[in-house]
Order: sequence, then C-alpha cells, then structure tokens
Amino acid sequence: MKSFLQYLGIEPERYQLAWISGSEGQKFADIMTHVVAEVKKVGPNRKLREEHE
Amino acid sequence: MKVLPADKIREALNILAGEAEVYAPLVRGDVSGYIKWTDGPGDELALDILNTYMPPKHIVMPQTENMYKFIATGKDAQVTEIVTAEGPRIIFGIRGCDLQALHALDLAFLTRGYEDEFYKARRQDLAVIARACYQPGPACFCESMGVDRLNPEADVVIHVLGEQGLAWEPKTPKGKDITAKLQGILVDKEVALPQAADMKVKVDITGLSEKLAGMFEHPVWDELSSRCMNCGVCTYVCPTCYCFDIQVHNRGEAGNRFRCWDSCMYKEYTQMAGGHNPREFKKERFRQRFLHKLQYFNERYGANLCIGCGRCIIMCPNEVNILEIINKLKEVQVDA
Amino acid sequence: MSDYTAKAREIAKKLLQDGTVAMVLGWEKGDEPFVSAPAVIRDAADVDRLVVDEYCIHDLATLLPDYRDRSEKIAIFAKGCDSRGIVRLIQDRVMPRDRLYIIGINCPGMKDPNEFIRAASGLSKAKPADKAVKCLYCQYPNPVLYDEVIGEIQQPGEDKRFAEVDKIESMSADERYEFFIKEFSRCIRCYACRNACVACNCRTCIFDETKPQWVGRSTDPVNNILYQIVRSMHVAGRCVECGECERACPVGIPLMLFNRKLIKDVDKFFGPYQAGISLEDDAVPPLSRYRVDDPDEFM
Repeated sequence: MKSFLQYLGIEPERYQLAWISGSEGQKFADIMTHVVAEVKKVGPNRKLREEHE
Repeated sequence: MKVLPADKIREALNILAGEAEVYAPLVRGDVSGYIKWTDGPGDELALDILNTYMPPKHIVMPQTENMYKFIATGKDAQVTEIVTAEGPRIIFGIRGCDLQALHALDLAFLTRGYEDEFYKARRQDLAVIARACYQPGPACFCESMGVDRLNPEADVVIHVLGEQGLAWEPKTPKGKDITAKLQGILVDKEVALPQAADMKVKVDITGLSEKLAGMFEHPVWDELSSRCMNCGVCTYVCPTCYCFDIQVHNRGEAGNRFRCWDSCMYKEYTQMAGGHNPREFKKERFRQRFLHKLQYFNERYGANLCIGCGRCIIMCPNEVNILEIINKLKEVQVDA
Repeated sequence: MSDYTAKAREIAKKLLQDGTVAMVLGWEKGDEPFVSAPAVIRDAADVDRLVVDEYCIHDLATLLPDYRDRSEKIAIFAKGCDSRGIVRLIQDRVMPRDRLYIIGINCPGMKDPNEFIRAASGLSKAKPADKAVKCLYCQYPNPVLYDEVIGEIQQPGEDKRFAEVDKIESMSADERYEFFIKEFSRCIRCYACRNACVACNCRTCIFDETKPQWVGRSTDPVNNILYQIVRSMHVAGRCVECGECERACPVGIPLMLFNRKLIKDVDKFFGPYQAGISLEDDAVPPLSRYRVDDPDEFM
C-alpha cells in the first residue's frame, strides 16, 4: 500500500505502518513522535483531498 | 438562407459564450461529450463525428449536483440552499435523438404535478441549437423511436455543409435572439442542403409496450440477460436514463447533500433498509431497465424512453444490443 | 482460427447430447461480422449458434458467478487468460472444479469488437487495432486448466508487461499525481471494471455497501481514484491480467497501470508470483494466505 500510494504521487512519510504490542507504550510514543515529525516536514497534504462546497 | 462560414464557427461560439454558458460537442482525449465551450487547448470541436460518446443529459442533470449544505450547532441546524445554474445556457449541435431525450427528461422532471427545482433551474433558460442529421450510423434507429432527425424541434436548426460551414435556421423567438447576436458573421447565401441518407436499421415497436405488460414473468428474460454483466455503462451513456440517488457528505458538524446519477443495474439501487432486495439478481435488474424504457415510461407519459441513438449498443463491453432484445421480445409467444 | 468453430460445435453438441453438461458458455455472432458476443446454449439443437473466432475477446468466466448457487454442470470455453480466471474462481471457492467442463482454446490473440463497433459507429475516428490492447503483453496464450483443448499451441510474446509501469515510476511524484488525477477525472463510476473482473466475485461488493459507505458516491477525480485504489488493492495478488477491466472501461482509463504496479509489488515482496496458473495448495495468492514470515512492507 505504501509503495502503491507513492506510485500515485503521495509522499511516503504520510503513510507509515508499525507493529506495536499493547504493552509497548514507549515504542508507541517514539513512533508517533517520529510520524508527526516526518509529516510536519512534508507539510499539509494537498493531494487526494475532496473539494466540497 | 443564413450561413455561418466554416472559419467563423469558433468565433460564433466565442460570441455566444460571452453571454451564456455554451455546451458544444467536443472531443477531449479518449472521450467526447457536450462540454462547456472555453475555446481551450486540447478540446476539438467535433462536428464531423456522428455523435458524442457521452450524452448531453449532464447539462440538465449533472452526474453529481450539490443541493444544500448544513452546519449543525447543538440541536439546531443551519441549512443553506445551493443555487444551481443561473442565466442563459445554450446547447450547440445536438441531434434530434438527444433533443428528444431532453424532451423525455422534461416529462419526467417537469410534468405530472411536480417540478424538480434543480432540473428546472438548469432547463428553463436553456436554448437549443440542434443539428439536422443527414448521415445516420449503423447503430442508429432514432426514426423507429419517433425522432424527426431532419427537423428537430429546436430554437435554431443548423445544417452542416462541410467546407461551406453551417446553414443557420432560426425557428423560435429565442432562436432569433441568438441569431441577432451573430449578425456580423452570418451571411445570406443560396445553399443546397445535403441529401439525407436512409436509416438502415428499422424496428417496429408498435404494440410492444402492451405486449410487455404481460411479460414480466416470462422465461425469456433469463436468456436475454445471460450476456449482461450488470455494469452501469448503458445507463450512464444513455441520454434518457435519469435515475439519481441522494447522498450526504458529512465532515464533523458540517456537510452537504448532493444527488448523483444512479443505475438500476446496481444491486444497491433497490437495497432496502431491512435487508430485502426486490431485484436481487441480474435478471430482475436487466428486466427493469428494458421495461422502464419500453413499457413503464410509455404507460405513464405516452412516450418512449429510448430514442435510438445506439450509444448502449456501441459502448456495451459484452455486446448487449437493445435492437436484438426488442426483436426477441417481439418474437416470443405470450400465453394469454 | 478457421477450424476452431467446427470443433467447438462438435464438442458442445456431444456434451449437451450425452448429458455431461446442462449448459455451454460460449460465443455467438452478433449482427456485424466483427461482433462475437457471449452466449449461453442449453440445447444441442442450438450449437450451430456457437462460434470461436478472433473476436471472442470476452472472458466468459466473468459470467460464472451468476451460476454459483446452482448445481448444474457447465461447459465453458476458455482462452489462456480466461482459464486463469477460472482457476481464480475455483481458488476463491466460487465454483467447484467438478461443476465445470473446460474447453480450452489455444489463443493467437484477439481483436476487440468494441474497437470495431466504435470505429464503424461514426462516433470515433480511431482505427481498430489488429490485436487488442489486452492481448499485447499476454504470457499465457494457452489455457492452464482444461478438459480438452482446441487449436495449435501458441508461443507467448516477449514479456514487456511492466514497461508502462516502469515509465510511470520514472516520473516525479507530482507528475504521477497529475497524470492519475487527469486520467480519473473522466471516470463515470459505471463500475464496468468491477463487473468485468473475474477476481471481483464478492457476493456483496464494498461499493454497494451503504452502512458504512466506504467510498463517496460523488463523481470527482478524488473519489474516482479512491474507488480504484480500493478496487485494485482488493484484487492485488489475485489479478490474472486478463485486461478485461481496461477493455470494459467506456472512457479508456489505463487501469492495468494500477493492476500491474501491484503485481510488480507482490513479486517484489513475496517473490515472483503468477495468479491463477495452478490449483495446487502452494499456488494460493500471497495476500489470501498467512505466513509468519510475510513481509510488512506490502502493507
């Protein structure tokens, strides 16, 4: 899916996947911090957005 | 007769587009349709093809049309109507078949005591510049469906003369107004109108509607529908199929309600809230399409809902052919 | 292919006469020489309607799910691509193998009747091709599964099926996005690609679901492309590359660019895999089974 979204022109930073067990609180926090930092770097998404009045 | 010289057609469309939205038959890449004229790059005015793949119905009923928007605040909601098309609009170059389709849509949306306001807003100021059709194609059978292809009932009728341009014949006061705007470029000239070629395909549907009334449970529908794969191509390329669904688009407290084309070919179309579906299988859905075209609409409005443009025959991926179907329906025996 | 029809009629007649099958799924001629169309024959007296010629492009396996809840035995004509579709349906438990009598057709490549109909219709100035687009990259011209087979063994052409995907991949991200949005802006959401697809055999399709509604029904480039993303992910690893979706598309969207990209990714992450070429247990599509060492990267 990640590779496919990239193919469609979506930045890979926006779609990330990790396996985190319910007991891995620290890992969850680290990964979320990382995801947010990465997405901030690429800025607001302008692609695949619905345009509605 | 007034003639619009070939090299002035673009200019004429630009003049008209200055005061109205003009829809003209354009080829854009792999598709053709009645597209809003902007004289833009990539669009090719297509007066030398028989017809466009996509019908002009979207001009009066867009595939997706916003109806109103809302914002919910606590128990209250603020609803804002979305105003649809305003001002004059012109369809340029449609043929008798598509024009008759428009008249069929008028019956469905504007008669019998109910006027659809969205349809009406798009329809009321619509002027029609129709084209007389001299060279029908191999899938055309409009005459059998009662279309007068040489004298379409329009505001202006044009006759394509090839290099000489278009013979221009205003028919109504609205048509005369449009003509007045082109005063500078129309010339008066004696021209010979083209010879009309015969329509090769003929099918007699006299009495078919009455016969179909007794054929709902006929086993022939199994055979007829076996080829169909139940996609919606035929309904979406059909200039008369007018079914729509009303949907809502929600984002948090705000949203908008819109309507969009729907197709009797889809299972979801008749899916009921309790889980029952009266048209569970493709035979029932297939039968619905043809009975609506050939029987129900006739019974209600006294007109055909098929106008013989042949688009469904041309576009069907599995070669379902409405002419073959009409002929088979005529052939089969019905037990009294 | 001149002798295919006679042979096809002979086989169908025998099968219907001796009661081996109750119906035959084949093709018959339409009202133009370049139209062959799917046909269902139930009576041995009607077998002369059958034809097998270069216009028999339709994948008849697409029609098999219509008969899934019945019990009669069905004879079906199958070209190489169609036979992979049949394997698909057997693997997906839509149709048991023993309800089918497969009459294979070694296929030299087909012409697309729709191209000819459109060219003749006067609606298009395009010339029909000698070989349909869907046949250009064919790697399996001969059926992979059959009870008997018609015609000479055909040689597959050079394997260039990923050439166009590679071309898209070489573009920049923004160029790719613009390209796909432009292509999908003309989608009319007729769902012909879904209905023509042999891997799309769910009883209730996600796009027919209303609670919840997974993809918006408004026709705009974004919802259109989201529809196709979901659809192609659903058939990822199960697409048999018959090209019917692209052929059925009335507005000419290059849908195989999606399918082949996903095939390429499946090959990359799970090892080379060809869908629908074998009924063996280990030939189950990679995304239809679970293994502890399945790679995360496909997600």
